[in-house]
Amino acid sequence: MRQHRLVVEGLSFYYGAVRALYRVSFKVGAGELAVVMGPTGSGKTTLLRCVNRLCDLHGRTRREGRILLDGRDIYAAGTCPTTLRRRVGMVFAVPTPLPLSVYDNVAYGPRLAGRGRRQELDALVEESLRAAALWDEVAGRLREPAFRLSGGQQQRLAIARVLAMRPEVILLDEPTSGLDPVSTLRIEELLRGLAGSYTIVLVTNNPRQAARLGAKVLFLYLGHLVEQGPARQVFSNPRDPRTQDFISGRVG
Amino acid sequence: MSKDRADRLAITALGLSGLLTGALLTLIVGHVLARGLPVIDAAFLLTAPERMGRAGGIFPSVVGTLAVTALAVAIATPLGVMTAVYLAEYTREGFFVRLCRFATAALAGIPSIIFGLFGFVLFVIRLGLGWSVLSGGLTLAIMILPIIIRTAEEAIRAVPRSWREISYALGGTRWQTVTRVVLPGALPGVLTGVMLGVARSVGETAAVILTAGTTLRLPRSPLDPVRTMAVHFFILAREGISMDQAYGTAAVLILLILGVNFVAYWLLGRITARRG
Repeated sequence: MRQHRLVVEGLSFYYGAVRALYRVSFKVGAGELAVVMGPTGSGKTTLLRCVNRLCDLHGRTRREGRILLDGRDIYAAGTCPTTLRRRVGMVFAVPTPLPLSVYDNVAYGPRLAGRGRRQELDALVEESLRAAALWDEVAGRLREPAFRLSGGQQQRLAIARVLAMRPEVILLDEPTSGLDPVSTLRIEELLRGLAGSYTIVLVTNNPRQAARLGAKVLFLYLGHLVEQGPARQVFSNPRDPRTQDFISGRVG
Repeated sequence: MSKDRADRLAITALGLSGLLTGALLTLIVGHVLARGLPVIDAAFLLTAPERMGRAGGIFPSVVGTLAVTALAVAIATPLGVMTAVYLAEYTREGFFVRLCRFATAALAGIPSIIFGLFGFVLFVIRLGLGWSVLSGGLTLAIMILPIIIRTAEEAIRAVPRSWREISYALGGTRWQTVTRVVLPGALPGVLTGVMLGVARSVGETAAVILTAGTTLRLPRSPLDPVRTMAVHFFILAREGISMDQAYGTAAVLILLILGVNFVAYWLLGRITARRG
């Protein structure tokens, strides 16, 4: 049996009095690419932010349920969110380079973790940029400010920045929502290549992207996990009428 | 009145306001420089005053101004920036933060002579520092602290939230995020606050007369008294000693502030250009 890297059990989340998630449960195997789809406001981003504990940064929130990474509860007492976030990387919806050079953006995470030796960093930066299919375009521009890259390049830089951490899990929050179709295809190609080596959870509001990418597809609607299963089954034979409405474009 | 006319009227009124402000500034600076620049030469800057300031230069006052200001900024900048970081990054909006912010705002509104009185009682008398560079610098540091805190806090809050989240998501601790992302991003705003503090210190009279003294001698140690340029100018003009010398001093004062600003923003430009 395949080992489950990420297990979410009965997860509920509240911003003050507003409930964002209702007892969401699912499992993602090691090296699997799971796509969480759903319309805007369905709790997809909240779900991702619970997995790397970025939601800890908000005040006045409440959480119920458990999230296990390799069998360990990431919210257990004594678990350090900083250490967790080094294992669970995140790519945000808006491509945002830090106000640093291309090189320093990729080296940011490893430096925080104390890996600052020049040679080691050089190799790590090149390896990460290659893995993010960006090396050929920026090899001669490593010292340039990262904001000079195009939007699509900036998003691949964000992926390289995460890969440089050598994480186990990569979370992507609508990573192509601000990109043109060509850049979107490049990112999707890249993610298909990364699946297998990394456990990937991608969030999207575009059912067609879910169909193109997903091995496993989850449909989140107004905080409820309505349906989950292999992509082929969810798209060809959805069990819930709300899933049918979403994938046929009537909702969302 | 039609919308187009209202629009044109607004443009005219706004433009005139801008023009008036610019004209006032030019008039003041121009007047001081026109009367003061002819007085300034190397000797004026580098020799001691003679006959109570009727003749000679202002060298001791230049040194005194630089010393008192440098001390004030050197104390107030780290203290102010650390306070701002604490208020903006380490606390949630609550009673204590609001109290701190209210205290800062209130402190910023206190007339400088009150700070002078406080500095006189505490540093000059109670701590026995006498009229000195040290007493003056400490007093000015307290006076400019609220300015630096407020501008730094605003600059820190203006740093995009997304930068912080990226840093946290890459395994950054709060301190790493503050030092590597937040403070570099807030640097231009922090610098503006420091420059305001420099300008206030350089131009202050009331608070330094009471704490640094009015001697015309060159200070040899931080415990010696000094007469800053602003105080020198005030005494020369107030007691009718020499208007020419007073204008000369005022012109040096203005050039000093302009010079410090120019260098600071030039440095900032170089740092941010490298960082990208």
